[in-house]
Amino acid sequence: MLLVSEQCVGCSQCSFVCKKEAIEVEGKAKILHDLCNECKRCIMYCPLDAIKVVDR
Amino acid sequence: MRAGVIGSGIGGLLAAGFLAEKGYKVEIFEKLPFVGGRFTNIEYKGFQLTTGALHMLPHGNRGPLAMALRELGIDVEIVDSTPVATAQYGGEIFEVVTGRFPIASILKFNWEILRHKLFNVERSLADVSEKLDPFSKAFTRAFCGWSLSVLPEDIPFPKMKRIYDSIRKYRGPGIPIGGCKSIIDGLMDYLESNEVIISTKNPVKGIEIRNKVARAIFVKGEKKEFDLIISDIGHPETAELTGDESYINKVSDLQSSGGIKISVSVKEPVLGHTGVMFTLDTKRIAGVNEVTQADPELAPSGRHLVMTHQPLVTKNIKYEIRLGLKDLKKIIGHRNYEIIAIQSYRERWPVNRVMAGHDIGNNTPFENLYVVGDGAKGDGIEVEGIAMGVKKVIDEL
Repeated sequence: MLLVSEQCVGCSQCSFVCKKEAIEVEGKAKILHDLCNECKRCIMYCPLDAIKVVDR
Repeated sequence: MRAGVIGSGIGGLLAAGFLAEKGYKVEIFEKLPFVGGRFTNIEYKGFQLTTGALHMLPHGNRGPLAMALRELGIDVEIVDSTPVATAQYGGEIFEVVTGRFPIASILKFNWEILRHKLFNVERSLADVSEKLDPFSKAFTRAFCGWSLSVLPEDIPFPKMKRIYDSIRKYRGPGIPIGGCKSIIDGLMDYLESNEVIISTKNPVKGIEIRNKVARAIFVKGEKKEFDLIISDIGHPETAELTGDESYINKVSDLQSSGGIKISVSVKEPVLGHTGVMFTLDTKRIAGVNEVTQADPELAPSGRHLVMTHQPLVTKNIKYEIRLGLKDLKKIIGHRNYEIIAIQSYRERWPVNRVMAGHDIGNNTPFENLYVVGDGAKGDGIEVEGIAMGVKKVIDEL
């Protein structure tokens, strides 16, 4: 499962690169887990390393 | 001579361009999977949005950035804004010309400049604008918010004076055809044809300092020796890479400035011109532009792309966004609109790495290590300040 950490500043690049439209940004990014297929594109594009993979 | 450049924002790329021109063998390291930093396009829902900037050069064709690009022979078409600016004030929209400001306020402003020159009186811009008429006061606030992303309270008056002077010298803004990315693409073509090596997804882990001289960059378990190192990531992060305690302490209180950008799609134009519309009736939004007036390709056909900018006043982002959205309704009026994206900028992906008026320049404690980019742009505005800083470093070498 992907989680957004406190470091997120809401720059929104993750939501632009997400192919599943699984990220909403309002101040901070929020991952919609039922849409997310864990492709990890968002992790790659996050300028602040704010998205982490965690075990369920 | 070998030069290593950390970060591929516009400052890093521009510095690399001038270094290559001088005959340096240049290598650029970028931690993200793309180049251009906060000055490039993101295609989203058919719109050319940006990673940060607002598809606008503060001083257009005559500005330092446009001049630097021309010097390198990089061809970018920039449409100078006409009119330079309008203002939405008291429900009316009109062009901002000197005649709009009451003579009493202009005299007070000039008197303050004189006082500063003669007696070195240091006051914040807010202290000065407090004494002006309501329009001039509201305009000052909007102008600071738009161009510097600060409140008049946070900026020393002399700094404002220097910006005012550079606007008189270089004139108003312009919009690059193709948006920010056209400038990045132009620079990339130049760098590639000059054999500059660029790697993305390649974060720099450290800078080696020996005998007060920066000598090497650590990347992916590899050490690369350089004669000159240019950092485009601001002083605090550069200091961290060197691990030098006194440098770290010296730059630890540099504060960034934040802001929120709302990208909006409209069918009916809101501005109808290529300049800025300063918004004076609002709580947060300082100004808007409509870049599709210069380049319709930045939006799907039949649509205009309007971008608002507001400085971050409190730390409560949700609250700030709510105020921005309320302002937006006021600005757009009866027109139908669709919000394409709301982006907030702060901390390590800010509007400005150093708050306007607090910049410490390009030098570091190490003579062959310089900081360029938004984190070291002197008194210039945005990318124009970046270009001036890069030129200053290159001239110093």
